[in-house]
Amino acid sequence: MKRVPLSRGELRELAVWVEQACGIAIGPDKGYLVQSRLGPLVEEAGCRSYHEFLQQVASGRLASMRDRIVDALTTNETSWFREPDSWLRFEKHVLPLLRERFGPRLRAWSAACSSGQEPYSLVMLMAERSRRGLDEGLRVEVLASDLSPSALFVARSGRYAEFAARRGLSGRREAILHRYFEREGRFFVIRPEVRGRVRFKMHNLLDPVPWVGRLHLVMLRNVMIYFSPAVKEAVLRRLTGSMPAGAILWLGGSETLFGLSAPLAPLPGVRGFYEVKR
Amino acid sequence: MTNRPEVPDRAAVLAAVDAVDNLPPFPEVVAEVRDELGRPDPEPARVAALIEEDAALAARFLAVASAPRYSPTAPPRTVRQAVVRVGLAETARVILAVAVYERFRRFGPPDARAFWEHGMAVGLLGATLARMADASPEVAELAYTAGLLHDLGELALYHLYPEVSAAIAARSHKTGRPNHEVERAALGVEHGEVGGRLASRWGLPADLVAVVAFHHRPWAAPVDHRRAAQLVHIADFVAKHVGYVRAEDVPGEDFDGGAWAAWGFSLDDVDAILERARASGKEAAAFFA
Ligand SMILES: C[S@@+](CC[C@H](N)C(=O)[O-])C[C@H]1O[C@@H](n2cnc3c(N)ncnc32)[C@H](O)[C@@H]1O
Ligand SMILES: [Fe+2]
Ligand SMILES: [Fe+2]
Repeated sequence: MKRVPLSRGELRELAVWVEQACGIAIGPDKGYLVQSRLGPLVEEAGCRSYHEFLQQVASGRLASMRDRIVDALTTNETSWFREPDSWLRFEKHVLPLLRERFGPRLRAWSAACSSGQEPYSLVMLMAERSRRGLDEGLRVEVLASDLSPSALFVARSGRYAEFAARRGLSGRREAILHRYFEREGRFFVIRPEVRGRVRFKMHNLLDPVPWVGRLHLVMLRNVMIYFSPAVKEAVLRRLTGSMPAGAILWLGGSETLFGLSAPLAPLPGVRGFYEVKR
Repeated sequence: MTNRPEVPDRAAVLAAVDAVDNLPPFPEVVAEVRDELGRPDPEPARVAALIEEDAALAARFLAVASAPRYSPTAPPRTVRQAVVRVGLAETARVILAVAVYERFRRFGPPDARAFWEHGMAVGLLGATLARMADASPEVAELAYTAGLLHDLGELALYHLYPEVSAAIAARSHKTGRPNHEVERAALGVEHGEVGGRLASRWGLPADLVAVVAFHHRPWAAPVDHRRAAQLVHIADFVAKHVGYVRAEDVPGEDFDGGAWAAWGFSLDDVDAILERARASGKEAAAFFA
């Protein structure tokens, strides 16, 4: 099929719109990426050019395209206990620290939760620990949000097709699949006691924090990679505004705050975690 | 790869759909029953007479009307009695489903029952969602009809290109990408558009044609029909998500969040909607059992 052409001017126009809508930065070298990810949407919408497409989106005639564009430019890719080493560090170093600093009532927010694997993993981890007799008296309230309605629908439903259900739960973690999911035909369904422990909300990270009260742990993993430095700083300013000194920010494996101005410092010796410093 | 079936392009597919002459026409009885019900004084006897013109249809309709929900004590003895028990409006719905199933089950994907079960699950759920959102009865009716028929294009593609269609299904299954995306990549056209084309050739109403054509890209539907297309899109996704989908089809990965938002549904509705989807699926499964 012939591809809809994308001029440099159109790429710039698109980049401005996308950054305003969701913070995602598109550099001038991303023409190919944009064409391969958005090309199908432009064609499906019946537009002959990116300019026409953008005009329709901006005018609201293709309003629902906003979410599709975000979905196409980020991936909702995720898995259970993604980046397992980082979960081990969390368990070994961060969790004890949080309890020591803030006591037995903790609040955690998975701020780009995609289809829910991240917040549910946290609930399952806590359940596994209490099975082992750990964390007596500790309660972690788990909040979760994302921008993508489709990802959130899946998250809230707690239903995963086999392929997604098994990602991250093979080998040593296979027992989790049996303990916290029920099989239903081609799906694995999170058990109600786990599902009921996560509160989901639709939320754009560019908007004010949607929860009242302090957050002791914010998981902001594998989402800032899409943002420009200015957007990153704005997002961090908002988040840290809801976090007390000593609260922890958890980043994805390839992410750092290097070169950004934010009231955060690396947690000494624990890669991927930062603490709020005032 | 060797022995790969010859893959037609977009123009070839559309031309083939326009020219297909070995696919039976849409069952006339559906419109005849609807016309009778549109009269100021619809008569069960006249509706029964229309149904009785086709013995197979009449037999199946009697079987449906014998279900406990319509006939808690003894099964109906005549088609007229069955029409009365089922009720006139519901009769139109049942006849639509029975007639398309009778007529088309030998065409289309190998597992015809699962195919139509999915269609009916989507139709029932679409109508339920319309009521949940306080839409008019007409919208609910359209959602039911269009839901039942929404994957008509798959049927046409299977009929015209059985090998290519099987290869597409296999590829979709293997990669986890939805069918219509694989179709679009391979053929330059997806089953929504194909189905819309066929429906329009059959002279079905414009709103129905549009919903069938745009059920995988409701955002691009003509404004007048967009909401209905969005509704069937949601119902299709949710029905798949609770498992009412053919074995080769991939549970939804391509949900249009905008459709969800446009209908005013929120995350707090998810549980209730999943519950209704299960109920619709069960009802559809019982219907074709
Ligand atoms: C690659 S996933 C990461 C999921 C999970 N945190 C993990 O690490 O596995 C990125 C998610 O960020 C979400 N996202 C992108 N931009 C966003 C924004 N501006 N606000 C909220 N979520 C956003 C996307 O919808 C997507 O679900
Ligand atoms: Fe479809
Ligand atoms: Fe479908």
